[in-house]
Amino acid sequence: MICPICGRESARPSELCGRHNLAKKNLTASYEKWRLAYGSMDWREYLSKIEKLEDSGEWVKEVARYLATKQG
Amino acid sequence: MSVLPKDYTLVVTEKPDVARRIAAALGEDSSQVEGNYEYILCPGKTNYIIVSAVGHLFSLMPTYPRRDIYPVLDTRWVPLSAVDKKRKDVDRRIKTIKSLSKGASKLVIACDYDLEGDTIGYNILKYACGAKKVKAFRAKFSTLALDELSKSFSDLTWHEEWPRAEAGRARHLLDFVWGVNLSRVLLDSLLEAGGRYTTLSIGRVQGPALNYIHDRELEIMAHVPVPYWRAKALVDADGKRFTAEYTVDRIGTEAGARLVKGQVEGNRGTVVEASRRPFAIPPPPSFNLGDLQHEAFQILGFSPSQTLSIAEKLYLQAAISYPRTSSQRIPPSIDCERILSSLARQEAFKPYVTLVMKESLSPAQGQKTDPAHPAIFPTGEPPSGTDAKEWQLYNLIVRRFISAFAERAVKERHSLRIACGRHEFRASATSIISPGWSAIYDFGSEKEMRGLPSLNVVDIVSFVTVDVVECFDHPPSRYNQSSLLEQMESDEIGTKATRAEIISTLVDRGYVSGGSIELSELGFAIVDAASKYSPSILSPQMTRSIEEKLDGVEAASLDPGTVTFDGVDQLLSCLRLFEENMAEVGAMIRLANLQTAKGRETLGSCPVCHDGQLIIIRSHKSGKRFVGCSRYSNGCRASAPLPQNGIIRATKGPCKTCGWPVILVFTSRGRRPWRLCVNPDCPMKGSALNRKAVSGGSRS
Repeated sequence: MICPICGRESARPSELCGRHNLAKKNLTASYEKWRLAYGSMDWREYLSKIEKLEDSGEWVKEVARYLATKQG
Repeated sequence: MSVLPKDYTLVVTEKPDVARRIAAALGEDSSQVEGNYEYILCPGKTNYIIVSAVGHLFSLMPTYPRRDIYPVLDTRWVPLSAVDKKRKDVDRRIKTIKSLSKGASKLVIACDYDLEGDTIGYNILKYACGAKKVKAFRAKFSTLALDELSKSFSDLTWHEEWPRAEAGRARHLLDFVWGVNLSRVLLDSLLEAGGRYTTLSIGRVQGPALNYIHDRELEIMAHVPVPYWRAKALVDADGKRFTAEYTVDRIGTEAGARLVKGQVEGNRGTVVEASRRPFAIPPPPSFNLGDLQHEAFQILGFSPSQTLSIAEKLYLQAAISYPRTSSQRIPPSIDCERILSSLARQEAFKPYVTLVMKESLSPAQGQKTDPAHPAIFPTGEPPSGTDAKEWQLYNLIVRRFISAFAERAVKERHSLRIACGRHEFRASATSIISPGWSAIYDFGSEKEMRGLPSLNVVDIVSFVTVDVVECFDHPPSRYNQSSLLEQMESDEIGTKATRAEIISTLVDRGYVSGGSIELSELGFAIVDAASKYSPSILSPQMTRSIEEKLDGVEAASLDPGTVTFDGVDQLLSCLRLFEENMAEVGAMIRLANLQTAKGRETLGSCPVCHDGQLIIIRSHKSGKRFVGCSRYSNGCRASAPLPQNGIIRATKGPCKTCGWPVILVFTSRGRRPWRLCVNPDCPMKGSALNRKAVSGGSRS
């Protein structure tokens, strides 16, 4: 299986490669902190904000873009 | 050699410039060139004949230089010309030393007094002078000042044992076999996987250095910024206004931040703490090499290897002491009063020397020491060259040296804490009471902050406004050459002489790029392959344990044979793991190598068709390189000439004037790259800034 973002081999059982898997793990772990910080924030809005932030890592932005597209 | 005296002492130096200085110190008669022989004769009570090497005259090579022999473990020392065809000049020097050593009654090694110098001298004694037992006198000096050189020749020490040279030779051997064999296994893996030939390497010092960059890159690329808020208030105290910060550095929620604003803005506060605390900052000690490289990078923008190269030039001009030192200490044997008096004769330093000249001179001393050399200090002689960069570095070294004799700098911190309900704000300002040493070494020193009004506890102030700022966590900064060097130093990997070169090698191999060091795909692949199949190569502990053993050889407490055996044993374990997984390692590197090579050849988007990429192309006809659009076959004719010499690297942004790519051209190691827009018709090229670049560049 290959990573749908970059075409590298997936780090099973994840569908993503090692790099994007690490980024996704960080992205998921930080969502709760963001929700608490703003009182409320839905997942889609979170992804959109992360994608636009200059300091977000490149792999994190790629994962955020991918997840936003995937989830319609 | 008819003119040789009957009885003479042969002196061997490491560099021709040093030979000339020693000759001047010993009362030079004349430089002699007879056929192929070149030497300097110094007649006197002792007749000296001085000959010079040019760094290492001997190098390691495999005993059986055949590609089918792997791993390469049998090595021998051979004249450098056998390894590097361009270095035929060393044969003449070896022949001269061989011939002159036969009639010499005494031999003196006057190479740099450190590990490399001992290694060079030992190899000359062993292979050029044909000594079965390596015995000679050793001259020890830290500067090329004439009086120190003549003193060193009246205090020669007799050496029958050369533990430092043994350590140097063991280090060379280990670096050689590690480098050759790991490069071979990486390259064979790549070729086996169908990759194209490229120079690959990873070594016991390169590995951990590359791994630092890799780990930092992971943190940056997978960084998720987390929001927090800061509150800053504009405070009014009887018409005097100043800013104060909320004492909680990170307000975790937006609601919490709004609450602070709502409860403080427009309200009154009470001063709950007011203090003025003087504090002293002692002068910094004189530079060791690492400190000098760090400061020159921060203040002058010189890369570590550039700093070392300039410092060596200053040493050869007898302007400063030997720069490859770890010491931050100036021993009492150095006549600081004489040096300061000499510096006072140079207009640029006179005012600074006046500030420190007093009855007893006692310089600030650092913690780090070096058994061979003191900290870097000026000799008092100005540099003979006129190079601006040499002067800048010399100025830095001299000012640092003088400042070590100055008084402490005394500053005062004025702090206030102001409460408003349950919220507290703080303000502080620093003022200089006595500049002390910072008036001499005033590079990048902290600027004085704007003062605060004089307030006492229970005084009332008003919070005019409270600004709440939304902030996000930043990722860690990328390494630059200076911070990477510092990291290597703190983990004690590599030596003071080799660290800067290791960093340059990482750039040459295409593993990293940029002033703010970024890991390339190839760099990622090398680290990924190593961490998966042979992780100890990346471990600083492994290389540090080898370094410690080499230190043991230098201290004559460990046997060099045992230490090299252990080092080779560790190498074989690493190689075995790679060999068992060559197909996988090759596959990992192949794709990354292609991407990195492609990235290196792509300079940026085409500003003409806005669709293609400008790439580096080599003309089949002339062999010259130029830049052209990838959509040439679709009709885009954008092209431009490129400099024919040097390594070209793309920069991130296009030219702000014309939109064409801007490139960096690396013409020589350690030098700052030359930056230019590739468009020959760029309007900026008419300006003074770019005129030189254009005329010297793309039309070459």
